[in-house]
Amino acid sequence: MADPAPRTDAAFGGLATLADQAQFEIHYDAVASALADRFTLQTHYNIAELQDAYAIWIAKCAAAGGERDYRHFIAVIGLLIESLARYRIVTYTPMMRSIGAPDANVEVLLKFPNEVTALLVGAAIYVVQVVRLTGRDPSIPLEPLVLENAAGILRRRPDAAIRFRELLQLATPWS
Amino acid sequence: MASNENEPGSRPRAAPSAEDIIRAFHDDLTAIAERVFHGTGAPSLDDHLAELRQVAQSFFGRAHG
Repeated sequence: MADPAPRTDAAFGGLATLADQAQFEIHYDAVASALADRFTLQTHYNIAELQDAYAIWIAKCAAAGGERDYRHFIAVIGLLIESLARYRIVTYTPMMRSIGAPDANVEVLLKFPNEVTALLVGAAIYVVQVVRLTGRDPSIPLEPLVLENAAGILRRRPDAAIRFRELLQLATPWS
Repeated sequence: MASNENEPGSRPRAAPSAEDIIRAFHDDLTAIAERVFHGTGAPSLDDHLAELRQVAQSFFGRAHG
């Protein structure tokens, strides 16, 4: 008989860990540092702003409620992106002088550090969960213009974050 | 006109504390993880964070060099 699928300890990697402030900060740092590593940048955090974003996210989710279904999950992720984007949490600086034409992705990240990081924190959590559910990656690599457009919309209208799947061209397993 | 939020003679209901709100939100996320994602997850926090990092970088395509 085949072994049953491994069950995960709820303390590790589960959605519920995000309700813990320390875990929330660890998740944010994981994504921000991944972006910094990808483009050889240095991160600079304002922890007080990150803590404010956590508090406002919890309050918004509590006020919004939900039926604990996939719509609730999408709303939680949308509110996460919105809450993070409203605060000046992170900036990036290049660690090396660029040679040749500047990388368009780096320019977007330097121009919209909080918006891009907020989008990718929410999107990464969404993608990881969907891959675990379906075995299929719902994301595609983004053109810099697409990312810049999404970040610009988010800067002007943080509540547009609820459209994160459309903004980042993410597929959905739910009709 | 008197409020009818509380029964006559009862104490006003206290507003939930921050801890209560966080606990309720934790319960919501736990229920979503079970109902929508059937409790699937990573074997460890390190594995979970590695997945997040990989996904975040994948939005920019493959790194050159």
